Amino acid sequence: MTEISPADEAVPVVLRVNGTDRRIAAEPRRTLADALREDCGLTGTHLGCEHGVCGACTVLLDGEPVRSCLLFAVQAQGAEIRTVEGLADDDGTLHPLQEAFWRHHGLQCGFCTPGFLMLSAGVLETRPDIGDEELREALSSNLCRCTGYQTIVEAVRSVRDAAGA
Amino acid sequence: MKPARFAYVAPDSIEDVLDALDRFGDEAKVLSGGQSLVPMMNFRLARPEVIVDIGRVGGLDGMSVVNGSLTVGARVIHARLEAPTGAMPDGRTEPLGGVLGSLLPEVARFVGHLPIRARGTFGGSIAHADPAAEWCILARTLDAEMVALRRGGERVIAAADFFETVFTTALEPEELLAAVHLPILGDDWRAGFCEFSRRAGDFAVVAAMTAVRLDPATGAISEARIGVGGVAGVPVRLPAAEATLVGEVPGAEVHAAAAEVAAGEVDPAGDLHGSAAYRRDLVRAMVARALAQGAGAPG
Amino acid sequence: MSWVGRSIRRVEDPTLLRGVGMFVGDIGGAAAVRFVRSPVASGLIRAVRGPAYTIEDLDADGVGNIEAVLHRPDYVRLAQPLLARERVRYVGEPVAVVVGDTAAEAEDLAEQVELDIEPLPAAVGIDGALAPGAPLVHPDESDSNVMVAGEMATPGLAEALDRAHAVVDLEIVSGRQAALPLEARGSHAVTERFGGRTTLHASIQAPHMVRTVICDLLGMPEADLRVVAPDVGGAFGQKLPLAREDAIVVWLSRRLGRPVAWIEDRSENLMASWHSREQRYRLRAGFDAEAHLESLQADVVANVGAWPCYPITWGVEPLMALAELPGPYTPEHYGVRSRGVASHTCPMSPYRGVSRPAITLALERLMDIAAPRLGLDPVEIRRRNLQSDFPHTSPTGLRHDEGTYREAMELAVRHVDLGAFRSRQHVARAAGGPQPGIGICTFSERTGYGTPAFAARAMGVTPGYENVELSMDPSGYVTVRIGASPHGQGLETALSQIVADEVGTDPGRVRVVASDTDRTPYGWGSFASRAMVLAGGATYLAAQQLATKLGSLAAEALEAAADDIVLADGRATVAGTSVGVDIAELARIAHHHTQRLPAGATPGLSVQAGYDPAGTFSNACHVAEVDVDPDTGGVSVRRFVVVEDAGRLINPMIVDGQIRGGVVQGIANALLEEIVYDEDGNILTTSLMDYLPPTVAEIPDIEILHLETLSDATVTGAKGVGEGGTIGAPAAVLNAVNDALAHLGVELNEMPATPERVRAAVRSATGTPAGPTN
Repeated sequence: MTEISPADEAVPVVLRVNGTDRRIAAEPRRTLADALREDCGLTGTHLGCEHGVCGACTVLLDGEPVRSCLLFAVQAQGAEIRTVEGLADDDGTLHPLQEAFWRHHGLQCGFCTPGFLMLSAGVLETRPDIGDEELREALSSNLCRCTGYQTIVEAVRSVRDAAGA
Repeated sequence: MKPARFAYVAPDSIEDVLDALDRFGDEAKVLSGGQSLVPMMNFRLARPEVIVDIGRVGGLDGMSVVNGSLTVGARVIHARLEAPTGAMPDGRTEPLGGVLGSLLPEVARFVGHLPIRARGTFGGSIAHADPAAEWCILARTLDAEMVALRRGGERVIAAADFFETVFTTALEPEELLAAVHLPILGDDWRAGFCEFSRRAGDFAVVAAMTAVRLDPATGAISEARIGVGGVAGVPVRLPAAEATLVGEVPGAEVHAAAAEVAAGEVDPAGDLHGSAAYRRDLVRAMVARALAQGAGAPG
Repeated sequence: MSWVGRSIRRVEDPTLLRGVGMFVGDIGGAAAVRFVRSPVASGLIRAVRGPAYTIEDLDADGVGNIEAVLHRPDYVRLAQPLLARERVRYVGEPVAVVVGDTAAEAEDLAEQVELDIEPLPAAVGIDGALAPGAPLVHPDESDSNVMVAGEMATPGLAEALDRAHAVVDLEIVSGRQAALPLEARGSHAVTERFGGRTTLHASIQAPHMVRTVICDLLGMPEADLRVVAPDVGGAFGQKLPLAREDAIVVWLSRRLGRPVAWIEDRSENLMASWHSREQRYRLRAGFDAEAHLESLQADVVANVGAWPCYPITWGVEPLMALAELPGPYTPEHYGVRSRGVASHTCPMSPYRGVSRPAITLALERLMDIAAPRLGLDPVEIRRRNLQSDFPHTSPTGLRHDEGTYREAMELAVRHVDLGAFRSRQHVARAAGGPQPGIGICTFSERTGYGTPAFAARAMGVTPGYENVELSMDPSGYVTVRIGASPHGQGLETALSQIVADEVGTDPGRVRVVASDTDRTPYGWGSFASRAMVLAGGATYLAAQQLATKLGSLAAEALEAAADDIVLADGRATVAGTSVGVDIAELARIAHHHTQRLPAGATPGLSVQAGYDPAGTFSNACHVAEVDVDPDTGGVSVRRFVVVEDAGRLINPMIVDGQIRGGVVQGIANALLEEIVYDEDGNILTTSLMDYLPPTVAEIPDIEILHLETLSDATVTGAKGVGEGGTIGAPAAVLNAVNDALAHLGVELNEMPATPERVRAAVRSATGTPAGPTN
């Protein structure tokens, strides 16, 4: 019989985030989003709805964008997790998507931005030649309340086009 | 919006999963992709005492073609059905062709959004049994068979018996949905799927799937299936509307007549997302459009 | 080269892009506060059992009640407790509060609190609240649910309507909606162990105002409370009023002596934050034979919920409707009755546009309905009625400064090529299937108003002015301290452009400090499309003073006349020569070599300025093209064009962002978003599966064209632009939906025009279901 983690105890969990192992203790009910924010201090991953609709908490799990509010930290052991904090280079150089969001005014309040960046990063890394229509469909995964989306689409398209050029 | 406490177990074999389900019974809930279950837990609408995570179990994420049906493992994620492949009896894995091969991607693109399709699983959706979920409608329309395992046993449940009411299936607490058999429709079948939702990726208000078999000699319909979601606690088949199609050659008038019968045949309850009258209107439109979509040659 | 007018990248962005911004929920290190909220719409509290604080604890500490006041005879004054006392009045009203170590544990604790409430009948909806014998929301204070009522009429209105060539009657309804910032509300308070000073970080729009009211409630000096709005994840009006939760968070931190935080979840935000928009307009309009709108009579009701909001009060929607209803038109005769009616529902606050989305919907539906009856098309009737003589004074005494009401429409119509659209529409009508429609909306928007406008409302607290403190430090960098409180609008960037031009420096050498009561002058925050006009105006005036100081310093150093000094590119030069000095050098002198200052000059380079204008009207024309599916009622917006006149554009990229985001909220208001209660007052829309903000898939690209009428009513020439997109879009979209289905005889005057409502309108117009496949 497999070992059972009791409900009311924090259990040791190792999360591999942005290439670094983070050893935390979390109750089974701790979502990955809360573990990243509260236990790892990575507060760039935001919570906008906690029921999987808004996408503000999007992170990459083994390269695919996922809702970190719909995943328990205990489930994420052994996976490669990437968050917005790992997007820029170690020397601080912004990721092309970050540059593009800046240049195209793809953010206003900035609350949805980490989620959109990680969604876009996951999409472009796995589907670098994604078509305009599919890209729009992919970006419909997340909500933004400020920009009206157009400049976000333009930003992501410009990175896709620059990479393909 | 944080879940209530639960104990957690993540077995790495099917046997251990079945042991856990046997031990905890209805205190336990199986966690697969979690894309339906976890939101309900965050709202505390679902409060399982024990979560049995099947994410570390091997052998549940295969797709294979056996005896004229496609067996989809419970842990196959939605995204894989956007470009379905199947392991053939000779061991090769090939893109799934035919009518089912073109129908599955058509349906998969309506399932949630990209991140949901990257985590959520086919079996999870079937076991969750939302009456408007695309895979539940597909399973019911095509008369899929659900393979349920329990410690020391296995049974196959027909779709007609599987879905009991909203979020409720014939699965016993100690049973695990391991796979679903979907019939591979022959080249004489035509299938269509159409859904109406308020926004991209939302659950359907109403969705319809149709599949008709054509007599190669006459071009007339010899067998018809119409399945609709969003009008009852489970996805439903519409036998009266199906009957109007049999013997007819597909065409706009025939489709309209069947759609009209379909609209009269459903008995929806109204809710926030649509009154009974509106849902009937949507059934009429969705059934007609699914039939029109399926009137073309298989892709 | 001028920095104003250039689309420079925002200084706000790098932090946010790296994910290292600080929103309230990111602060951490605090115990979690959770509110126990009423599960019923109306009831008497018999008992609260469990590990919670209640109103009795607040009362024992002498905590006061919120009084949101208008000094009007028709206004019902109430004292609102911070937690429900004796009675609950809406689902979600906070009754008790618990504190746990984590958010999850606080939620566990809240579940243990037992509310014993005797349910009472509830008044829900406008008709439910106005019905004879309706349950009263505040039975001890008022024998009706009408909480505020305004009425006015110009002489001769009835006669004018009697003799009108054509009279059009119209009822429009706006559903209840929510601003839905993506970051819900929240607050975090820490009280110093020694000295007892408290710091509140909260997701709010007006930190100084919040400091005042919380200190009033808790009986503490304002000097002992620091209020900071850190990064704020959208607000749109919802974070303007005092959140009673924020006041309780301060109280708890002081009582418990430990840091506490309340992070509102999405369900709470939809249920118990603030709602807006639920209104009904009944218009009677008289047109003369030339189709001029001569007389307009209106009856307006707003369902304002269970409590007023502080400090704006529940007069905000009905009284704005009363004052601004004639919009861009010029009826000689105008009469209005406007009421705010209380109900057992969540209270109302301002939301982007406030009453004007509904006002504009009413007026623009009116024009479209009147046009065919007068033998005109939608363009011609507006051409004949839009204001064109400026300044124009409205029947309610509002001065409209120079604008481009007609020009904006003509440009929009040319841009969309209305003729080509009508040809496409003709073909589509013959073919069946999705039906294209086009809708025009013209409007003006009162923006950037200061104290006089608020004083006219007779508010218990009168907001208005803005102050700015500006200083250049010895390194030559400029710090601008403002009372406005930007939260995503890019105000820091825009202000740095204004300062850069005036003092001849680079925007990169300007820092804007905002949203912290310890570090900024008292001000009113960001709301009502005001910050660019007000804080921008004060910044401009202060920067001019600084430039004068630098000029006289340079004149002294260069032995030239102050009038001949030019500040540009970081240097002060004598006009027409290459003789000059670095501005940074002047900054050193001003601080470190004050012996070289002109006699009588104050050491340092600090100035301050205030600005308090009467207001300015921006204007715009929106055109929407839609496809309507008559079988499902589904509407797709295919194209959206905006011609906007917001005066001088300080940073065009930022202005376009405001317009685009506003339009998208307006489209959502028009088609998707609605807060729904059942007849017992239970709220049905508490998730984002039920309340439906749009994704990119529901939204077209927005085409924006500008006219630039420099306002003489503001010092910068800029007009406000934050709300306009949301004001115009609903009317443009509904006009387009009606245009698409006009051949079927459909008339739909309710927003949101949900698929079900569109389909019902088709059904009722055609009598039969439309063919299933057409």
